[in-house]
Amino acid sequence: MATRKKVLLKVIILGDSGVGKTSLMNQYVNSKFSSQYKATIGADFLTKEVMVEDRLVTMQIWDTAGQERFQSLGVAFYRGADCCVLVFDVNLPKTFENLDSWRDEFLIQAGPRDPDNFPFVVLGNKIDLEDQRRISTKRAMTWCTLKGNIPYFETSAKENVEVEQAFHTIAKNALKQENDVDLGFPPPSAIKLHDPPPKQKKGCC
Amino acid sequence: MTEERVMVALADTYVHILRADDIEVITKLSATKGASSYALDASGLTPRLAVCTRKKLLFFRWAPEQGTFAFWKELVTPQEAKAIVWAGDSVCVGFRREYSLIHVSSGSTTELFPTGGGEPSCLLVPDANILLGKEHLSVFVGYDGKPSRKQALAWSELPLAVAYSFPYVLGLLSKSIEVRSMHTQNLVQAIPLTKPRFLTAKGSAVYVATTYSIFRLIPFPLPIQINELVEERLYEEAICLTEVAPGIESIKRQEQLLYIRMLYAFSLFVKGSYDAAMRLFFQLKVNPAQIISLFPDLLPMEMRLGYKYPFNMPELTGTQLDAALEALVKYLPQVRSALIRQAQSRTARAALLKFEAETGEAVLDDTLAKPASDAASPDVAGPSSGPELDPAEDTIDPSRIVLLGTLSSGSTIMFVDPADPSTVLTLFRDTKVLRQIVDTSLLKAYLKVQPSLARSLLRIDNACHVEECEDVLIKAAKFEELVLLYKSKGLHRKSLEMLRKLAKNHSTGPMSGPTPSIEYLRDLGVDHLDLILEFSVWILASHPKSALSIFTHDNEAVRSLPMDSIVAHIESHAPTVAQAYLEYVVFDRKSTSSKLHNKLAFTYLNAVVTALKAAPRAKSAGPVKVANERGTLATVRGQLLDFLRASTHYEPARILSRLAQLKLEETELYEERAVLLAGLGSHEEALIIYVYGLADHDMAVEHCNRYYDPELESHRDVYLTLLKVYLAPPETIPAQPEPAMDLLNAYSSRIDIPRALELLPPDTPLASLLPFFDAVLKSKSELYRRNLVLRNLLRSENLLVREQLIQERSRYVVIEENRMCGVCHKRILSSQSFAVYPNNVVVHYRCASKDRDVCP
Repeated sequence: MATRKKVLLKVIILGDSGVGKTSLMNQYVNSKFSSQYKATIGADFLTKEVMVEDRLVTMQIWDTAGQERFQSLGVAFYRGADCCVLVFDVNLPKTFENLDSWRDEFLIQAGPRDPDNFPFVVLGNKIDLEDQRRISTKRAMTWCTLKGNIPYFETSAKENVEVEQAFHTIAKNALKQENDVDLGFPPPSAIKLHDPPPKQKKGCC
Repeated sequence: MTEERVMVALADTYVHILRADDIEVITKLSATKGASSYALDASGLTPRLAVCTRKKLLFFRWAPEQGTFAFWKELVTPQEAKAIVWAGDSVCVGFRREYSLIHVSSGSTTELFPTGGGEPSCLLVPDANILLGKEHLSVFVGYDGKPSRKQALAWSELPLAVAYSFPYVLGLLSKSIEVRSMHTQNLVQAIPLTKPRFLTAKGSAVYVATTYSIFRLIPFPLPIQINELVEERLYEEAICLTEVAPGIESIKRQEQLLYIRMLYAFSLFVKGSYDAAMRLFFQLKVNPAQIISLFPDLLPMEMRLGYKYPFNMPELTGTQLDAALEALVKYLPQVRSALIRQAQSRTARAALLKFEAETGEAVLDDTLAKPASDAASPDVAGPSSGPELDPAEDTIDPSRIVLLGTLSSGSTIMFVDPADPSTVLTLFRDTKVLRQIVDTSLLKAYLKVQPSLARSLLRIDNACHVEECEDVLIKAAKFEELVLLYKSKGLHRKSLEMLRKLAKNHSTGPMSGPTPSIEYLRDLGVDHLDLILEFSVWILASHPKSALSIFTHDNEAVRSLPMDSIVAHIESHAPTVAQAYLEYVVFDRKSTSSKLHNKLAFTYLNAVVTALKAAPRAKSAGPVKVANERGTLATVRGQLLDFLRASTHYEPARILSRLAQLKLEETELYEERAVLLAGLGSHEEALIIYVYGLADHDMAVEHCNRYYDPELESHRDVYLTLLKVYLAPPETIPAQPEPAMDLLNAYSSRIDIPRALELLPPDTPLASLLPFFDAVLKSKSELYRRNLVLRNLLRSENLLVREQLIQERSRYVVIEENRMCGVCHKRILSSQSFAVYPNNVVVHYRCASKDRDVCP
């Protein structure tokens, strides 16, 4: 690998209000959890340095307000994102049913080069409340498969279940996206400037 | 120095002070012998003078009472200083090899960078910047000695001298003077000259000396320069000049800037820099409809014709069109969210600022707007360049810029024909219309360059114009998107009709078969029940099993549907899956409707009847227990029996009357009948079936075990009933005393003894009742002893409490004259009520805390 430059990955967390976006980010970055709910206003971000496949990368994790969908945030937040994390609450079906909207809004606002292959990661949060669960693993997995094999994790920010693993995958996929973009070569043989001229028979009669 | 009316000059290796009026020498600073250069700083309260001699730097301060400079300080330098300027409390000195920053009062030296071979040159320019020469470059350095710009100013060759005349930096080259913009650093003008020697600038005038002559160069007034730049399409320069030009009213400046930027944006578009152009269009809040009009096929022709542009805009085709569309699909979402945005949250903005500060990357909208404070710096405030004629007034034609109705995010500006602006204006006064234009165009653009995002746009809340989009989507055969469009607009009937048509016409592909319709229908919910019923008919008929998921999918919409209407609907259109739906209703949704439970029971019953007809029994077969059934009958009877036992919501009488109507053999479905009879409370009849019909005593006892409940009147005597069935059977059947005795002995505790004894036939041998009486007596005496123990325990508890009461009553405290309240520390008078805590602290009753056990 020739490029050993410092990599900054922009990760955006989206999802309905109260599904635990801020908690997940806090658990991952600060290893802290508070069961008190405080609505995020606007947006904020935290950074964390992680090793991904022998590379030191800085993850810049953007936490957003779930209450107001995009309106107050604007395109600037989403441009240049390397990965988008969609979070829902496994105990609230509505938050799962809204994943589609979050994904669509993100794609439109961020305008990635290849929307079909942009890395998303889905987190089904609050699995610690197992007895209230309404969205089965199977149902969530089906949706993720349908949307292009999005990786799916079931997490608990409260009990720190799968949070580390989920964010590791997020970093890995974001890094892959970043590398793909870095290449930036036009597809080979896209434009042939010099078509070989058709061979003409040189008659000599 | 204007105020002191003196001049400072270096002549004959001495610094001289001259009177400005008649240029007479006032003093020769004798200490400055051998001076090679000097720097005067008259900006502060006390003018300062720094002079370089061979090995020293000499500093002087103005002494007003003497009318001359007085010696202040000297610093020894390792080598001769060639050039010097003041930089705040320091001086920046150019030596032969390098530049240094020397703090005057402490004398500490910071080396900056090598001169690179040429003569060192230092020049003060505005914004606390120093320009230091390094070969053919002029490097911008702040007063802290750090480079203040990434890019140094690059001259065509090594300059002999540089000078600053607002807002340009001039460089004296071997055959010309180069004039470069201080802000963009671009070459603005090159004035040819032969054999130039010196260059200096004062105010707006620039003086050049060649071997034989001296020239004075005077700049054109800035407004004229701006106009020329605009005409030559050098908009970046024009914008810079307009930003810094003095003497323009703030509002006028903004208008003019807006105008030039607008021209710049359109020129960028013409040049093919679409992304940059769009960014600027967005910042300038140009009416998006006007931008969209630049593209073919996005807006209807009559709308496109309404716009006037500053240039002849190119007709976009081929790769250019694709590139422009790529830029457009990034621009329009921005406009979209700006239109939707109600008020930009402050913290969102704060986070963006934090992001900018940490990464140095500009993300906020006002990237191009530089602080206007440039113009207010003291260097340029002089009256020297006062333009008499101000053509800036003419550069902006107010009739060409029309402010549209205020959008939530600000105002939109557009170019319109001054002759007839009304047509276009009225069209967009409403932001709703604008949103419609933006979303519709975004959809069309997506279809051309990013088809997969078209679906995303249609799935979210959008303002797409139905007919316009419908047209485009039909032409492109984008049916999936068309369905999404209809869905987002609530045109469900249209969607469903199309889906039905597509399902029939397409054998493969994403829109074939019933699945798209099924997925559509199950999202509709109770508000569209009529549509769900109407459009599920064809699917129920052709794909009954898949169609079931329209009514059983796990989401809010499906859960909202009224289940009995659905049952009726399915029964009439797909009776084969009615049972599956009823099972979903009863088992998954836990419905308590007796109507639906009855229905499910009937369905199971019908299945049994069908199975019976398929495999008729031999006449002499007699009653068959469920456990002994085989094949289908085993399954269907098992289902029926399990349901009848498990459910408490069906009406047994109805099921029984249906059974009666079926005219089955009397012995058929004995067990089911028994359960139903028990459900009606007729345990006797049910038990008769077990004992005499099926001759199975275990089943009878099991029945009792299942139903016995001492709390319920109807179920309390179920064992007694069985006993009665054994001992006093209906006529013609002999009694069965043996199982009766077994029952009595096994369940004596659950049977009412006196009534049981009454039932026993008089000839019952007492010996056979021995175990019964034994058990009854044992349990009775056990009960008696247990109660005795309980009574004694309670009595001793009662005694304990009494003792405690006596102790509490004997407790006392003495209230004397000097007994103080523990809370307010006042005396407790005999007339006042008081309270005593367990630790004998006494307080006023009103001072006592709420918690009576905790002493304050």
